[in-house]
Amino acid sequence: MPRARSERQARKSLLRATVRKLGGLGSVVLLTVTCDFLSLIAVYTLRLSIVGSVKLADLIVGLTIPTVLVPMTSAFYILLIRDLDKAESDLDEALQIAAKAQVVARTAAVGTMAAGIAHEINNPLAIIRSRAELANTLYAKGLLTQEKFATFHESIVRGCGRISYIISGMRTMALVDSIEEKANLVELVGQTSQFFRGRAALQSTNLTIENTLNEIQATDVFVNGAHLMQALTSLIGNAFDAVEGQSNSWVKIRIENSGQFAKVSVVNSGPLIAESVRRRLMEPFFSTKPIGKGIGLGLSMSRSMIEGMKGELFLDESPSHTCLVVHIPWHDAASIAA
Amino acid sequence: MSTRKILIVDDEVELRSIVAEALELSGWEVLTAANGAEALEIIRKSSGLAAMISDVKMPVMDGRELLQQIKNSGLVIPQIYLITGFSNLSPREAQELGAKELFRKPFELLKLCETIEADFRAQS
Repeated sequence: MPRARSERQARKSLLRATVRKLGGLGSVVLLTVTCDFLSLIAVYTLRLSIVGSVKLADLIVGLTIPTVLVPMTSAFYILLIRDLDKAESDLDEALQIAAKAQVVARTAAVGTMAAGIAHEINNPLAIIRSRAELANTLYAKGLLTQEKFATFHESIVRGCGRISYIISGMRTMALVDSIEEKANLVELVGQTSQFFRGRAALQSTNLTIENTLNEIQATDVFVNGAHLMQALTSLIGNAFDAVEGQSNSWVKIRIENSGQFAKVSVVNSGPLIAESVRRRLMEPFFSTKPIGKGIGLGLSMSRSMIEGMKGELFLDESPSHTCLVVHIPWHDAASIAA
Repeated sequence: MSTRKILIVDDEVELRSIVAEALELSGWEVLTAANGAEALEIIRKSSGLAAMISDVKMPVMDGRELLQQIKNSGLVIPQIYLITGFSNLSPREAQELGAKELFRKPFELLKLCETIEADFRAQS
C-alpha cells in the first residue's frame, strides 16, 4: 500500500536523521511513544525480538548487539543503535507486523460489530415485514381498524428507527480516516452499546448506561468517533467476557464530568483482576483469554487510540468492581468549567 | 385429533405478539413464552399442544436446548418449527433436533402460517 510505504519511508528517514544528529552509530536515542499505536507496536515488537537474549546490564554497556530497545517507562524507550542497516530492517519488519496486527485487531472489532448488527437488524426487520403482511391480511378480511392501523404504523416506524440507529453507529465506526471533531459522547456510547444488546439478552447480563452529563457537556467532547467506538467496543466486549456464565451479571457504563475530562467508565460484576494481570493489562499481545478468543491487542490499541486524541485509558484500582476508565478531552474546556 | 393449540417462544415480545395475532386470526389458541425455560414449564403443564414455534437465540434457555429437553423428557409436540436470525443452525441440524422446518428472519409470516396449517391438516 502506498500509504504504508510512505509511512515506513518517513520513519526510516526520521531514524537516520536522529542518528546523524546525535553523532552517528553507537548513539543512544530516546524515543517517545505515547500516542501512536503503530510506533508502540513497532517498538514493542523490536523489544520482544531482542530482550530475551540480552541482560539489562549488557544493554547499558551496549556492545554486542546492533539494535536494542529498552523500556524505561511506559512512554520512553531507549534505542541503542550499533548498525543502522540492521536497525532499519528491524524497524521495517516491525512495521509490517504492526500493520498486520492493526488489521487483525480491527477485524476483531468489526466482527463484534457485525454479530451485534445482524442480531439487532434482523429482529426489527422481521417485525416490519410481519406487520406489513398482517396488515394486508387484516385489510383483506375487513378487520384493519383505524386503531390497528395506527398501532402497525407506529410499530413499523419504531422498527425502522432501531435499524437506522444501528446503521448510523456502523457508519461512524467504519470511517477509517475519521478525524477528531466535536461530537456527542452520549450518542457515541449509546451507538456502541447497541452492538451488545443482543449479547446482553443472550447471556442474561444487565447492560446499563448512566449519564450525568448535561446536554452541553454531552455534545462538547473532542474525539475521533471511529476510534472511540472501537476502543469502547473492546472495553465493553472484555466486560461481557468477564461476566459470562455469572448469575445476576451486569455491565455498567457511566458517563460523567471529571473536570478536565469527560469520563466514561466501563464497570462489570465479574471478579477483580489479579495483581499479576493488572500490571500487564495494557501490554500488547498480553491476554488471559483462551486461544482463539483474543490476541491481546484490544486494550493496548484502545489506549493508543484514546491517547491519540489526547485522552487517557486506565484501570481504576479503587472500586470494588473492575472498572476501566476513558478520559476524553472537552472541545471547549473553558465553557464546561464555567 | 389434536386441538388447534400452539406455543410461540421468542424473547422479542413484539414479534411474538404479531405471530400470535396472525395465528389467532386463523382460529389457533395461542400460548406464549419468552424463553426455553418458560416454554418447558408451559409444555409440561398444558395438554394437547399441536404445534410450537421457537426462536433459536434466547436468554436463559435457547431453542436448541429447549428441543433437546423436549426430546430427552419424552414430551410430544407433533409440529415444531424453529426461527433463527443469525445462528449457525442448519436446516439439517434443526430436523435432527425434531423441527419440521427452519425459518430465517425476516421470515414470511404468511408462509409460516400456511406451513403450520398444511402440516396440521396432514396430521389430523
